[in-house]
Amino acid sequence: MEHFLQLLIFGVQLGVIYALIAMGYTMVYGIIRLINFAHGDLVMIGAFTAYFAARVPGVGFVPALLAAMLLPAVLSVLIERLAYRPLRGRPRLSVLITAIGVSIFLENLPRVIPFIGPNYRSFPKLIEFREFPLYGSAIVNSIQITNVIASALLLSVMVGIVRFTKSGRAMRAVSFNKDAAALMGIDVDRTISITFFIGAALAGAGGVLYSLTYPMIDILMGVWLGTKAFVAAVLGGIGSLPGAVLGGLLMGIVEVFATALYSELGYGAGFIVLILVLLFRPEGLMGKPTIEKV
Amino acid sequence: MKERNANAGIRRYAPMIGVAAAVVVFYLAIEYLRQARVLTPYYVQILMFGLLNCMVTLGLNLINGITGQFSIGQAGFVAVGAYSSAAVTTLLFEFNKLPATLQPLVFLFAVCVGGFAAGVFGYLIGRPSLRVKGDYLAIVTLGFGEIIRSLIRYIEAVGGPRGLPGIPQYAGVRGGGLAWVLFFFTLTVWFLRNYIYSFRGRACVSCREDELAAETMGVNTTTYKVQAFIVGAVTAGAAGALQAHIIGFIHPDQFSYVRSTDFLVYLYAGGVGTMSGAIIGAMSLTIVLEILRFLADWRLIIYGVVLVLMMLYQPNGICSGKEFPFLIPKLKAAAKSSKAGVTGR
Repeated sequence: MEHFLQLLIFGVQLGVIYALIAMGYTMVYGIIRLINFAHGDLVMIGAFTAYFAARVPGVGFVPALLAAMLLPAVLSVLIERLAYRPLRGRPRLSVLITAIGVSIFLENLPRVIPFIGPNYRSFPKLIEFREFPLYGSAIVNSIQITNVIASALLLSVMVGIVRFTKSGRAMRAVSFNKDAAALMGIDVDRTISITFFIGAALAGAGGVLYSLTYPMIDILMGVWLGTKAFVAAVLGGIGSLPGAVLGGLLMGIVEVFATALYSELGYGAGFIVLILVLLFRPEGLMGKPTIEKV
Repeated sequence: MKERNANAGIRRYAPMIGVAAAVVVFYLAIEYLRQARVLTPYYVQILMFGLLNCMVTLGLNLINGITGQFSIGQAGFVAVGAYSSAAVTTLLFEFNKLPATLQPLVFLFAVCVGGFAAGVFGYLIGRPSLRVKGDYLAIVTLGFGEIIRSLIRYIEAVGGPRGLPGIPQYAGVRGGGLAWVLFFFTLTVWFLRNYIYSFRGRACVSCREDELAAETMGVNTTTYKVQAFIVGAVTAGAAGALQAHIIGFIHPDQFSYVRSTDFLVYLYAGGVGTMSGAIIGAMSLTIVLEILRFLADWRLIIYGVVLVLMMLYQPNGICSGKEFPFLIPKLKAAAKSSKAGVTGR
């Protein structure tokens, strides 16, 4: 029981990070139906931004986090402007290949930047490490608490934006029907830019929280972190915001439990769950079923 | 009467004999250049890997280009082929102790096992996952590839996470492996060409163009989609089997989804939907990536940029939907002449 609880805590800690990253995938997919392969690499860029920001004396957790959210967000808007926007209206697969190209570019660019390079780096301890007994031998530490609180805060801000602001309403309209939204006077391009901005900001935050938990960063961390978060988004039903959170948590918990069973199983377990879910609910846990009409 | 039949036979088989002769001449030319030390084993090996990539991309073209499905897990099939064939030559037989006359047979058997095992997995993945469509199918195939990879890590008999060394390099560049690779490459091209222009291929195209309409016309779309998956998997599996016996070492991480996206990039850079596109895309990008090696760390950065620029300015790929004439069977001409024969009588 205590062991179970302890694993559950680890699972949630990982799950909230997946949820943050999955949110960006699901938003971008929801609005332009693109699997944004470059999204995972923005996670890496976020982690590195925080790494360098924390070297400046006096910069603590919150400023580092904000910097790590801002840079990927700006970059993401730039990528959308330069690489994805000219392809709008083209077959979706060309956009997908473009996304793969952007992702290859982003993964390899830091390798040649002299002060980054391909080496692993240990992430600074931005949060003081403390442990609190919870139940029996199960303990919860300060990083886990930070992760959960920070993600909850960011996710609720994001949901608030989508639900209650004008841009949020524009976002929902564009994802519902792009042409109709444009006819109603919504600036579609701007709305898409905002979506990329918010999604990438969350990805950057996810990168920082991940590096706090597992304080070892390298330029390829975004590849598999992104893949797993993407699986989480699909698991929850891509395009659905609560789905991304649910999928992320599920993915984190499954992975931790599977790893506890057998260390090599962790990576594949999430995919197995995904395929099982998709076989019975092809639209994901909380996705809207698509109706085929003639 | 008899003479006419004989003529028709020659006419029917002449292109095939011509292609076979061309392949043999190509092989002899490369072999000669290698003997003359114009081509180092390094170049020959690049050529071999290029051909293997062509095989996988051709299979992917059948799934993505012809049938209109969306698979991004092709590396999983390659892994199944590589591992199962390696299991035959290392675990089942002691390949190097076999008499030299038996070795080609065992090797052929190993490649067949690789292709067959991949085909079985193609069925296993194709059959249930056709419930999901489009992007979801993509994710299922991606997930499938990654599951294969973690399963291999789980199986200690084939080395688990350490990889499997000591596979006989029977198709290695020094052992005349180019002949084997060329043989299987030609077989793949020949088979796929005939498949695509058969009624089955037409049915696959109808799935791509409009699934609903195809079903209304009585095409069993599920059958053809699963068939496309199986054929695509078999070609990938055979390529994997060859790859294992060229390098002599395989590791689960060689077959990650990054490898799958490589094939996807080959196909879409070359031009999706045509076999020429698949061949030219895979071959040229394999070679270009090797040429760019002198750029060291800049290589993949430039590759990424080129990919984006190409999608912006040449979105239909290098071949842009055109097919080499020899890859289109002369169906129309045959139909016309037979019709003329009928009416002429």
